[in-house]
Amino acid sequence: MAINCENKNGVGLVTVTGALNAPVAESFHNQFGVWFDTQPDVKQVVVDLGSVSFLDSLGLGALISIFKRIAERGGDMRLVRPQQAVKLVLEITNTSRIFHTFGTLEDAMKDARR
Amino acid sequence: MRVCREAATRQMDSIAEALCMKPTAKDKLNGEITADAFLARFQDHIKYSRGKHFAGATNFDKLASLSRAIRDLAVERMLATQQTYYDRDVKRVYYLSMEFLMGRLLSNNVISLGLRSVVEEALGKLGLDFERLCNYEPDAGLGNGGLGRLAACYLDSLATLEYPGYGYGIRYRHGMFRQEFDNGWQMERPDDWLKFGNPWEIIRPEDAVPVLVYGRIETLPAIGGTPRSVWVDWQMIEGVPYDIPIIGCGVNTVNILRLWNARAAEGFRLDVFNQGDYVRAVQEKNWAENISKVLYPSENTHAGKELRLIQEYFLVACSVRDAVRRHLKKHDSLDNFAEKNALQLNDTHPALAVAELMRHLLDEQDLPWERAWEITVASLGYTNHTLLPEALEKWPVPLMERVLPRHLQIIYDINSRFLESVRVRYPNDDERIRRVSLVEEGEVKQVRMANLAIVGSHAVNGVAQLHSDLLKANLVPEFAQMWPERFSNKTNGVTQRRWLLACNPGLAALITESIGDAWVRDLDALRGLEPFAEKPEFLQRFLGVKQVNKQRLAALIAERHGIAVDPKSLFDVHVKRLHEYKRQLLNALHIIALYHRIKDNPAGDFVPRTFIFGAKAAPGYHMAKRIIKFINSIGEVIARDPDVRGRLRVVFLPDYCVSLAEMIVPAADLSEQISTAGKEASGTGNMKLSLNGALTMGTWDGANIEIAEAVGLENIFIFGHRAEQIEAMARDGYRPHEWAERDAELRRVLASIRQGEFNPGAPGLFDDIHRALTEWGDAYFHLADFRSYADAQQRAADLFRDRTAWARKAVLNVARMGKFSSDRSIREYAREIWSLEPVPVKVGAAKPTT
Repeated sequence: MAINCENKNGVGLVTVTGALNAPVAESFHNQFGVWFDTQPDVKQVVVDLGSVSFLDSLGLGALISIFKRIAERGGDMRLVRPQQAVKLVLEITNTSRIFHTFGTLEDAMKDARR
Repeated sequence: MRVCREAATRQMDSIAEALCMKPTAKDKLNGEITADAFLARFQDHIKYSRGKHFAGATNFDKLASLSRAIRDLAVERMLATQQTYYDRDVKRVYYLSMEFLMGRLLSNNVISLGLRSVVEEALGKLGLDFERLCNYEPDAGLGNGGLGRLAACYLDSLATLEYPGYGYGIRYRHGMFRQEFDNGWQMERPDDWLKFGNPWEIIRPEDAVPVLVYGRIETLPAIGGTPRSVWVDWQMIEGVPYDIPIIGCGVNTVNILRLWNARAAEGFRLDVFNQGDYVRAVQEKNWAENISKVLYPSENTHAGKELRLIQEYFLVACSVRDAVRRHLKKHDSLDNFAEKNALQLNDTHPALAVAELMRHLLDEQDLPWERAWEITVASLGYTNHTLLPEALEKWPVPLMERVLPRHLQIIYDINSRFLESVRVRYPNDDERIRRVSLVEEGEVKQVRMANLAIVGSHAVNGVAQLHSDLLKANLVPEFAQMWPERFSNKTNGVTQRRWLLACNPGLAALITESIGDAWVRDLDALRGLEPFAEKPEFLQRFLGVKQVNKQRLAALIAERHGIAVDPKSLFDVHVKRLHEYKRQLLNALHIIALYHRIKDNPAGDFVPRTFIFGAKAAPGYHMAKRIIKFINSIGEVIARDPDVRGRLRVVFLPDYCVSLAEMIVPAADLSEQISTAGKEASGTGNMKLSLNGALTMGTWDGANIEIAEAVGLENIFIFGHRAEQIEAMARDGYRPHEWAERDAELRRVLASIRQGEFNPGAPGLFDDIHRALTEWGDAYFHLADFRSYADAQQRAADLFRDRTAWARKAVLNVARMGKFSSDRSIREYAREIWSLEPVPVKVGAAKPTT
């Protein structure tokens, strides 16, 4: 798993690559937290899941924690381009009703800036 | 012998082959394949699938290659069938069953494709014998008894009648245990039917589906602000589909039995392995694979119970997702799901489908509750298979909460809305509320799966008329009162393709020679045999076929067990699961009585009898296992006693399974169907045996009643108390000792058990059996029915002396069994529950578009 966090003019763009699962979930959560603390102007965050091949319950738990953290700051989290296997997990767990999900990065960024 | 086996086999082939040539959509592949062409395919598989030269091929290589060559020929039809269903957007039925007792497939598939002559000729060129190769095929024993075999028969009928039907089940690594006897005691050994692979299955890892279990529900604010329940901290497994073609006989339809194999979503933890924790690295993989490892894990432990619940959910989750996926390939939403899909629940085991389909519609499709509920109820049908209260499934709420938290939430919601509607309809009726609730109150609350299935289905059926009546009157009267239109009867049936055409080639050929082959697809055509019951020459030939079948079974018994049985003796057959209500013990009591009679009068003229048992007892069912030991012990004592030699023999054949049944059923003279009235839902062994010319010795129970009505009371031996009489005795106080007191022979039988006549070296071994029959109250009314049974047995013996009179009745049994074809059952389900139409398939006509 690799994670890259960027501040795109006040919108956080988090790009994750590989499996978001037990061995990496905590690290993902921590890395995001460290970065997020240094970006006080970021309220809206877009998480690009286009390269995430697998999501387990700890990975989903990490996403939920991040979502809550962003919400505490009064912002929102958007997911982009989940692969079919990941999308299915979001649907089964009903989290697809919690997270805004977009098909393209452009749409998600646009929505975040509204 | 007028009908020799080889001639019969040739005739049987021509029946099936003629049938396969009948449809207007001629099979371009199979109809034209020559023995040489088939031989080339077979040899290709030896070489390219097995990687061997013919000279080095084992019997397994040959069997696998032959099966693959046959499967290849079915695949064209399977593709055409699925394409036709897709193109025509037909309504489909999905038969969800935790059991599919398929038995062997090779012989039946060859017959269905009309290829037996071709295959025999092709193999003959290499000096191979088709039948011998068939015997190497392991039974697919993915079931326990009648319920699983019924599912297999229904698949055969669905395909043969050209209905778009799918079976959904679990690909258990170990099916029903292999039974061995050790000093007469049942020993369970693992069944390893997949040891050499399964040549019939097509693995589809690309269609694997995720299944979530465990975890908890957390409420989070959703988009738009409304809080939503989300499922967190779960574990994921995957269901991998393994497809087995189900070949319709004489038609192009090839349906699919899809069996789900469990595997870990993330198989192997390389990170953990690299840390040196080799056990933990595969822990998740092992846990996941356990889900489809064993049929009926022992429920004596919490872990076993939990595994069974997960198995049931695994089947349901995979199957519902698959049905939904197939629907969404053609439709934009699930709004019309019920118009295009019917899901039939074979007993309560798949009842979680109610909650799972609701979860799909609510959570994944975001439909409002009311619409989701309409679709769910309209899609589901539930078949009840038992009246025994202890067999009705209940799951402890804490267990369900741990394993399926979201489903429990949905079940509570269903229950709350349902009970509210009951309160409106029946105000101030708390007792009714208590009885119909999906949740049973008590120290540990339990979810009642039958209630869930009834509430969540638009149709509920029993499996024989008496059973359906008792279901409404006794088991769930409040539901029947509330929704009388939901309840109906669908009497079970058996497929005559396996249970006559394939297993009894001699009789099949004789019938076809006499009345033509229409019976293969229309069992009512057997009526045409009735006039032959008056023709002495026909009766002699009929007896001749039976004799050949008895010799075949006798040879098997001698070969496998070293026991000589006399094929001229009356073969009195009792084959089915071992359960006290099925009363193998009553049969044993009668055997003891007969033994005493012969001992008392060694010079007497007794009809020689061979009692043949086949039965497995659930591993944790101690009394059932003791009854097996008891019967084996009786058999040993009798076998050792020169006074009864040649007149009495008791053989308990170990490891009763479908393929063994296919040998026993054609050889039976008398069919023991002697359950306590009101306990057997239907039975299907009774149908198979009667169809093969055995006379039934039966109680007024299950489908015996309908068999008696069909064949005529004069052609069946009915005895014993009826269900209402049993019920009255149970209510008013049944005192078994009173029945013993007034029957000297019965008293002596009981005394012999107490005194250890059949356990000379082990005092007290059968004391519990004696106690069960006497001081513990004889819960299954053996003593009350003993005299009536013994008298009926005497009538049977007297009749057996007159071979022509016996044969006449047996022929009339065969002739009048038309109703008991699974084709009739499936047509009724299709018409009255599924609203399903046949869809003829043309091979070569459909162009792939998906």
